[in-house]
Amino acid sequence: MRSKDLQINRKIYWQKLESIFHDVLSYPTEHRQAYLIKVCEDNYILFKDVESLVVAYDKATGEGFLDFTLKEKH
Amino acid sequence: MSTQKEITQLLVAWNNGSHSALEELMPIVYNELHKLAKNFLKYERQGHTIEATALVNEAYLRLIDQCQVQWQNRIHFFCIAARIMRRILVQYARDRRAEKRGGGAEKVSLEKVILLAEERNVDLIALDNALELLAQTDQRKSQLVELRFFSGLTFEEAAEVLNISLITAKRDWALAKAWLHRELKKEVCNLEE
Repeated sequence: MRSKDLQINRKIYWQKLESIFHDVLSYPTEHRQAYLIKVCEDNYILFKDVESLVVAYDKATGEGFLDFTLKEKH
Repeated sequence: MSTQKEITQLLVAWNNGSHSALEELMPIVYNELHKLAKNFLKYERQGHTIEATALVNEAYLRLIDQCQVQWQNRIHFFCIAARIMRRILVQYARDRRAEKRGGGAEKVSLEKVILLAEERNVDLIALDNALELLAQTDQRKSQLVELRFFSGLTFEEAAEVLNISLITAKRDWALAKAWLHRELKKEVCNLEE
């Protein structure tokens, strides 16, 4: 496959991932898994990718990750 | 040495689409931020805390003629400053790491900024690498994090710079934050293995 095709494929994949990521977050926690399984169908790579991002999002939010600028005082 | 008026005109020209104006602006802003960072070391000894965004604000006040610019120009200045501040801080973090290893690097003056990042569990060098990687897939999200984190822009201001809606900026932020968190934690895991 030519590199340009690869780039286009990556872009399409990223857009799909992005859209599903936000959809999953709009569901209550207990329904997220089921929705994700349904929407990813048999695409396991996409499923794991979004799943790990959602887990990371929850952790990041809990930790306040990057939710500060470098201007706060000690 | 350029005058305040000339620098302001460069900023306006860049905002109007002149790329050469940006190239002229970058070294001027870089020098100013570097100089300010050095000066802040003196204040630090007197018990003041260094604030990265305070440096950016200070540079803006020194370099730009307030009467001539609109607020759009102001946030575009912060856009360049974010890029530069990122470079300066990451360089300091690298020097500091080298110094710890006994490399005898120069005295580090932005120590406290880096300590603040570390206290919040953010490794600036790893974050810098992850932002490069994110930019390969999604330049806009990488830039959004740079603007918010290194220059202290609000969502509204960053959205204006990136020419996107506030809702899009917040959605971008959510995914970028998750992606970077996953990337940084993976890096830690790999190092521990």
